[in-house]
Amino acid sequence: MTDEKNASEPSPLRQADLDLVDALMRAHALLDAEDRRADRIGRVLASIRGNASPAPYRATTSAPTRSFAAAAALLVATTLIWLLGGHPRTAMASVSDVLTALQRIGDRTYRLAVDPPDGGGRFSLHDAWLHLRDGTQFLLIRNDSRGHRAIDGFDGERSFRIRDGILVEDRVGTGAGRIPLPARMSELPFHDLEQALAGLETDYAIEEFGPVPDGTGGRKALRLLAQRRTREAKGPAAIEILADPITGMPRRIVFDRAKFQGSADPRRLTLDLVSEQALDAGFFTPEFHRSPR
Amino acid sequence: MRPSCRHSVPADTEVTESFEKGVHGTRYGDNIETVSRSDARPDVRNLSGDETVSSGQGIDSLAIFEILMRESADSLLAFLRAAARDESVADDVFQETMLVAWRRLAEFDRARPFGAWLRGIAKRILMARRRLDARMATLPLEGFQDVLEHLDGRLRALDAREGDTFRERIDAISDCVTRLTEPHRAVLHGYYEEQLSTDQLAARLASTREAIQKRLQRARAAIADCLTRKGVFAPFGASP
Repeated sequence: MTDEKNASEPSPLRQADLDLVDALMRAHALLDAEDRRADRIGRVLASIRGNASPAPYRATTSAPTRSFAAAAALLVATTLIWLLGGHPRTAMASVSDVLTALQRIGDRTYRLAVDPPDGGGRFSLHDAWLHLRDGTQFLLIRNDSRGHRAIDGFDGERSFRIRDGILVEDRVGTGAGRIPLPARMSELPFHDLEQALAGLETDYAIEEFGPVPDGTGGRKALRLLAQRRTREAKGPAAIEILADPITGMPRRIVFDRAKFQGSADPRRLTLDLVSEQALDAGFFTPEFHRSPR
Repeated sequence: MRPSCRHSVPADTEVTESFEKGVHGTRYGDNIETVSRSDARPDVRNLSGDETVSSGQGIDSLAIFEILMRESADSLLAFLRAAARDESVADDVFQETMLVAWRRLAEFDRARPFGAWLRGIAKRILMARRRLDARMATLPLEGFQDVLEHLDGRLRALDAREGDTFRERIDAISDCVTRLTEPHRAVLHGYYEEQLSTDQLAARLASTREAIQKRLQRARAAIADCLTRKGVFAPFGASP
C-alpha cells in the first residue's frame, strides 16, 4: 500500500487526504473481493461466538437529526413538483389535479420497476413496493438477490430502517436510511414543498396528451410528458405520468434515463399504482414490521 | 485480536480502551486497560446501570451487530487503511475494533451513527498502537491525533452521503477519475483495477518506478482536489 508514498512530501493532513483517496480507490475498485470481505467479518463473528456471551442492545429513541431528504415519498411528490413551473396553463392545471390527488387522504401502493434492473447483490428498487399514506407517510420495501429484506419508512414522526425484521435505526424526524434515488430527487425535502419548488421552474418542458389508453385493459388516462430542457439540469431526461382523467390520481410514473447513485448508466424507473386499498392502521410504524421476539 | 499481532502487548492479554478518559495526550497504559483473556468477555453492564439482559436477547444483539458491522465494514476499513497506511495493521485493528465494539455494544446509542462510534474505538486503538507497533513507525508521532480527527471528519461526511453501500456513497470518485488526464487514468487503472505493482506498471509504460510513484501520487492529488470541488471533501479549515 505504501511503496509509492515517498514520491512527494505534502503536509500531514494533505497526505492523509491522499491516503484516503488511495483507500477509496481500493474500495471503489472492489479490490476487496467478496470472499475476503466475508472472511474479515467471519473472523470477528467467530471470535464473538467462541469467546463471548452476548451483550445487551439497548433500544433508544433519538434526538432530532439533520434535515435529510432521502425519503421514498419523493418518488411521487417531487415528480409533480418538477412539473409545476413555466408550462402551458392546461398542463399546469392537470399537474395541479395530480398533486391534489396525491395529497388526498388514503393509502396507495406502487410497484417499482427498474430497467435495466439495479441491484448487483444489494437491495434493489426493482420489484420494490412503495406504500404511501396521505402524502405524509411512506414505506419502501426492497429485497436483495439473497432473500434479505430492507424496509425503510417514515410514520409521520419517526424514520426507521428494518433489516430482516430487525429494527436497526429509529430516529425522530426523517434521518434514517439512505435510499439511492435518482439524482435531484434525493436532494429535495419532500416535507417542504416551497423549498422543493425553488430552482425547478426552468428545468423541464411539459406537454399534455390525452386521454390515451393507459395500457392496462382499455382504460383511458391523461398523459403528461416532461422533458428536461438542458443536459446540465439535474434529474431524469424525461418524466411521464399517466393519471386518471377524472380523479387525477397517477397510475403510472416513469423516470426515463435517470442517473442512479452507484451506477454510471442511466436507467428507467417506473412506478405503477397497484392498489388504493386501505392498509392496517399501524402499517407505517416500525412495530408492524419487526419480527416477533 | 489475531494471534499474529506483532505489537508488544503480551500474547495472553487484550487491549480495551477506557471510555471514561480522553484520548489527547494518550500514553500507552494511561487510558488503555490490559485485561486477561479469561476476563475478555463482553461488558454487559450498561452505563445507566440497568440489569444485564437475558441470553435470549443476546441473539438479537448479535444479529443487529452483524448487520451494523456489515454495513460499516467498508467505511471503517477505508479509515484504517488511510490512517495506518499498512494493510496488515488495518486488518488487525479492524478485528480489534469490532471485538471491542461488541463488548461495548450496550453503550452504543442507536440514535447516533454506528460508523462514527466504530471510528472512535479505532482511533483509540490506533493511538495506542502508534507507539508500539513497528509497522506504524513511518507515521509521524506529532500530529497523528490531528490526522485521525481529520480522517474521521472526512469519513463522517462520506457516511452521510446517500447510498445503500459505501461504494455507492463514494461514487463521485468515478467522475473524478474520468476527468483525469489519460496518463493518470492509465496508471490508476493498472494499479487499482488490474492490481499491478509499480514495477510492473513501469515496465508496461516504459517508465521508471519512481516516475510511476509520482504519477500515482499526482493522480490521487487530482482526485482529492476534484472531491473537494464536488463538496465530498470539505476544504481545509472548513467544518466537515
